[in-house]
Amino acid sequence: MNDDTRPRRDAELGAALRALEVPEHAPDFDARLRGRLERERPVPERSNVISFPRLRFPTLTIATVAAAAVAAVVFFGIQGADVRQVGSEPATAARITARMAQALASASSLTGTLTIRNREGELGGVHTMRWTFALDAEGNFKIVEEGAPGALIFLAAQGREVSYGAEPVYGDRRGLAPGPPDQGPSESILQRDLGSIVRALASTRDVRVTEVTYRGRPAWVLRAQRSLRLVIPEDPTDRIAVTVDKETAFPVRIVETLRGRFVSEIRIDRLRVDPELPVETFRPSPPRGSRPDISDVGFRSADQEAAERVVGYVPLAPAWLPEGFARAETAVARVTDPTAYGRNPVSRSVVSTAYRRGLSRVIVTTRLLGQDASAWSDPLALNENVTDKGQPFEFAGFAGFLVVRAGDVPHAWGLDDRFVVTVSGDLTRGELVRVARSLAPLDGP
Amino acid sequence: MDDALQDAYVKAYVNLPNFAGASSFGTWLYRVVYNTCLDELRRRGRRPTLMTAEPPDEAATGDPLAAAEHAADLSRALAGLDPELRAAVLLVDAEGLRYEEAAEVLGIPAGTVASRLNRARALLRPALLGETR
Repeated sequence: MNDDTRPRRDAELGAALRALEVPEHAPDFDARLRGRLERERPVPERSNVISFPRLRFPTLTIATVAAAAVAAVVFFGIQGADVRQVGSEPATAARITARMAQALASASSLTGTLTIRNREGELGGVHTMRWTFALDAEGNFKIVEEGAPGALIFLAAQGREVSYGAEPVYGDRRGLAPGPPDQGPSESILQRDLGSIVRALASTRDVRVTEVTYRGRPAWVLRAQRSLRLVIPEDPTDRIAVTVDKETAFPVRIVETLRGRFVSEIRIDRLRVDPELPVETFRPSPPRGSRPDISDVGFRSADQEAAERVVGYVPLAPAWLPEGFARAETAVARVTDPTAYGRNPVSRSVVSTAYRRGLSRVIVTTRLLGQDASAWSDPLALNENVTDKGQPFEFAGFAGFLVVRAGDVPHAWGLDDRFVVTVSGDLTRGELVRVARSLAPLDGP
Repeated sequence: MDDALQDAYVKAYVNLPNFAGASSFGTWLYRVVYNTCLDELRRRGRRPTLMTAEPPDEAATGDPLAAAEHAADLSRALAGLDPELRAAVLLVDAEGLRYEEAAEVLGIPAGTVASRLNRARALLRPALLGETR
């Protein structure tokens, strides 16, 4: 064949096609198929030729997944996100930040559906996971995977997380810290604070803001040439787009790509702001007869005075916080796990205090330095691949770094001759600087 | 879609002993799935109409992220393609099959794969670039 007639692969079109969402199977798909296969089971000598793969993601072979995807789109086409660009009048990143801060500050509860899609490897299909979620201004949240039994519930006041499915053993993690840099509730996009991510994005210089219609609603899209690796930290990305719903000012979609190819998407649908949450929303109900697998991170709830007695020093607290923030909970631990993915020394005599304003959160922590100051690195580092230390920053007698970049919760951390201190959360760069500089051994606001 | 895919898996399962290994297992499975889906479409008499291009409402952009956000346009364009064109572009461009493999799956000559690809790409490209509104 003449090479000129040979169809070459259209890489750009192929990437866009692979990024489209494939309809999911009905919940009983596996069961129905197993029943049918059982009825069609060939005679024994035939069934030994090739064992059919278990039809449950992600144990499917690549060929089977790809075939299923082709079937889906050949048969029906694909339901994609209804995104339409309607103009480019730039709302400024600062304006969006202000709107978001206001929305987070005024909301008392939130429910919706969280969808996370990511490509499985260079040649893999797109894996979709979907949960419903509910969270409130006290820090409680609940996540339920669609189509699966069970739930994951975090009870902020107790520092306890319960997770259960259909198995006879359920997880019961106790003694959790309010949040980063210490072990809080299970890592999830809820925990990572969508608001903080967008705020950091809005503080980044190369962010472009566009006005669009997203699923029929006016929205902003913030784009940056940054690597966030929100879904799978190991997956390289080079660009991010965050869609923020104009009416509610909540982020509803984050798309990460690499060289134009889809890597991952986080999406919130059916978002409801301030729904009334029944009291049983956050009540764990593991299967009857199941037994707990209890683990303990080491934190205990305490007031400021009790915290001082446990750790032997006067905890630091910010003398200034943005209007509306108030102390929500303090937890102390004599000994707990190292921060920064285990790179730092074991944490001793830790005080972690969360300040909340609606759904916004700021966490201040103090821990003993120990013998070797050089052993410490950024306690809030997301992974060891981050080489950017941030901006050198001195505050309240501590020397450290100010880290405000897309993908990270805005934070400051530093050392003096006795302590390691962190400040992190839903703060602008200016607010973060002011809060950090106001730290003092006194009662917080 | 679930029903057709279940039919395809059952067919593949039952016919596994007849899989001689002349092609790859993946190609063979694609073919089983594709034929089953076409059978189901014929049974239902469903033939999607070809999409017609509409005037663009916004300047096209080569921004890959903007392209990703035109997923809805691309979905609609893809759904509007004739199933044979849709299969060709998905197998070659999305799934990365060589044209000989796609020809085997679709049961058509390689030259026909090429012509179907050209038509499919021409119809999808405006949606990819955000030019379909």
